[in-house]
Amino acid sequence: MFTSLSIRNFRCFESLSIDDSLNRVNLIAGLNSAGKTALLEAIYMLIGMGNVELVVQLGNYRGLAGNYLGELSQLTELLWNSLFHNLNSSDVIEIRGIHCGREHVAQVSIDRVSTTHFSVSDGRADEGTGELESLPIYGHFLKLVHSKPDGSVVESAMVIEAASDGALTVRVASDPPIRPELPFRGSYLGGNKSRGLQNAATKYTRLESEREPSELLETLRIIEPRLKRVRVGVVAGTPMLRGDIGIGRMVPLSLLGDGLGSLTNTLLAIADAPDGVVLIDEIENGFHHSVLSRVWASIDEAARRYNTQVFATTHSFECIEAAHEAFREDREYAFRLHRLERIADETHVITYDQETLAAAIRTNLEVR
Amino acid sequence: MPPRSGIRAPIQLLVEGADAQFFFMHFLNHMGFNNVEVQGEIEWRGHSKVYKDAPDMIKGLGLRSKLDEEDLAAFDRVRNEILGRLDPSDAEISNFGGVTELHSFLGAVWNAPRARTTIEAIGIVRDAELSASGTESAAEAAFKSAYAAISASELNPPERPLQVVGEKPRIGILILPPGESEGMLEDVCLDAVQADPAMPCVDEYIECVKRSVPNWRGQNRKKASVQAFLASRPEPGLKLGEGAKLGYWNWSHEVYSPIKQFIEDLTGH
Repeated sequence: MFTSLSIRNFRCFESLSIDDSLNRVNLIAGLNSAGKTALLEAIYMLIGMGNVELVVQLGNYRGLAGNYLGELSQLTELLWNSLFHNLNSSDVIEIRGIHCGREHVAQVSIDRVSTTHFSVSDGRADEGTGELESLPIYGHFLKLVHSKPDGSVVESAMVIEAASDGALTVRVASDPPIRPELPFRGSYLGGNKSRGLQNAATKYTRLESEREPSELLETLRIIEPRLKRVRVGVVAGTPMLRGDIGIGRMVPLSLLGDGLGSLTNTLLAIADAPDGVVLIDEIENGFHHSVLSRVWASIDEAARRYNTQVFATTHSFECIEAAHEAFREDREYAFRLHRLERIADETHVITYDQETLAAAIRTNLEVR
Repeated sequence: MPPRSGIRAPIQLLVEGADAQFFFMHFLNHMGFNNVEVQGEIEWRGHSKVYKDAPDMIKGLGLRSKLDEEDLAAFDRVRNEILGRLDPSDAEISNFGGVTELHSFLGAVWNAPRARTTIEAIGIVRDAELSASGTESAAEAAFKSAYAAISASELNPPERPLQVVGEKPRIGILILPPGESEGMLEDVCLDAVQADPAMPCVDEYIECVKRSVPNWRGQNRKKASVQAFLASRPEPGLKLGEGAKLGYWNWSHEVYSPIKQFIEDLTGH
């Protein structure tokens, strides 16, 4: 579990520190543009060091997806420079995290040398390992450096190349020329968490092979009490989760409402990241306020069972109050509320422990 | 009730109980602070600026003009919106609840949105009511608990009562009655009206009760005296804080001098 984080020169953060106040489940609040999503992105960069595809994914989550054409410099501005504070890519992004007492450091920079010694793959930087084809690369590239607690360093890079038809292709490279093992398992669930239930089907199959996922079914009944069973089926060539709600036919879960999709995705993401990290943007989306407390209780239970650390953002006071209610039933109270607030042009993290949050809720003091 | 807005006033006075809230609101009014708000659970007595303006505001929002329970419930629903339209206050006075809740409440205030940019001074007011051990006075115990609450909130506490230390926020602790080893707000008020013609009657009444009522709880004597005194006023049946609004506690008495000095030091006025 991460206990501390520090971020420098990333997105809206010139610098940001959270010292020794992280817990198993962390809820991030703050005004619009305070940096809640950027904080999740920074953690995502840290846990996924070595997977340069994350940079493209983050661009997608920010609505920067597309079939890129045109000037190479425009795409690098879009995908790369936007990672840097004030778009200033001449400095290095540094994200540090203390995990189980050991420090992991991720550094991101744009290297402007003309030739590198990196080996380059033609494919995507998927999870897993395998040798990469060795090719020299030219031009500048985005470099990611992961310094592990044991002192070893893994470097990886993203190159953007223009094809003859004008299409821009993202290519990845690493040194040593082996696809690096990712430091932590993890998932990033964007604002619409019910999207991508195909991924949920894969995760469910993996979970099913390891244990009977009956707890998941029980939990999903918080949202859909009619649910009798959940199965993975292939529809039109696409694996998807389907549920039996007693109408004689299995129904894709995605048709049973945003709440069910959100809870399914959230719990499967936690189960699929043992000893890892799950990041959830706008966690309250899709949930009626009356079920929020039970949703949090199920997240608490799943996070403990799989030893998964959760970071989520919210704008909802009801969501915060429900989390406090759920976690205070747990003797450990493995929960912290953190608010990002700009003070004198710097972003600060203000953390509420159990007593302080209880007092704020009791006296109707604002916390967001 | 929806959650209220964040901290809005530069001066935050944290006191013990609703009576103390209203007492200090009117005391500050007497000292020239015109824009003082009482925060937290508020009963409708027309005390707070927000609630005083409630009828017009409710009318302005298209709700019924006659104030009854339904209107007040409706007012609660839109209170946040109304708060957002008001000018910032000079001071907010909050009830931190019981002694054991001071630490968590101070933490909630200091953690609240915009608190660290808005708050210039925090004053904590406690009664010297209970002593934790035989070796220290009630006033010492009260000061220690306030000191510990400030330290636990990562703020710098003063070294003695009435002292104001630090900059943004300035912090001070007022133990009531000032300079006494034990007592409470009621003692201050009763001292201020000691020369009032009603006071011999009040004392006589209390002595009579003491003699006549078996098992009378003598520890409530001061509170009973306050009630007896207030019963002698033109508008009887008020609480201590409500009596403050009508000026029943003789603001000009010198017993308030150290309290006025404390408020001046705290507010910088």
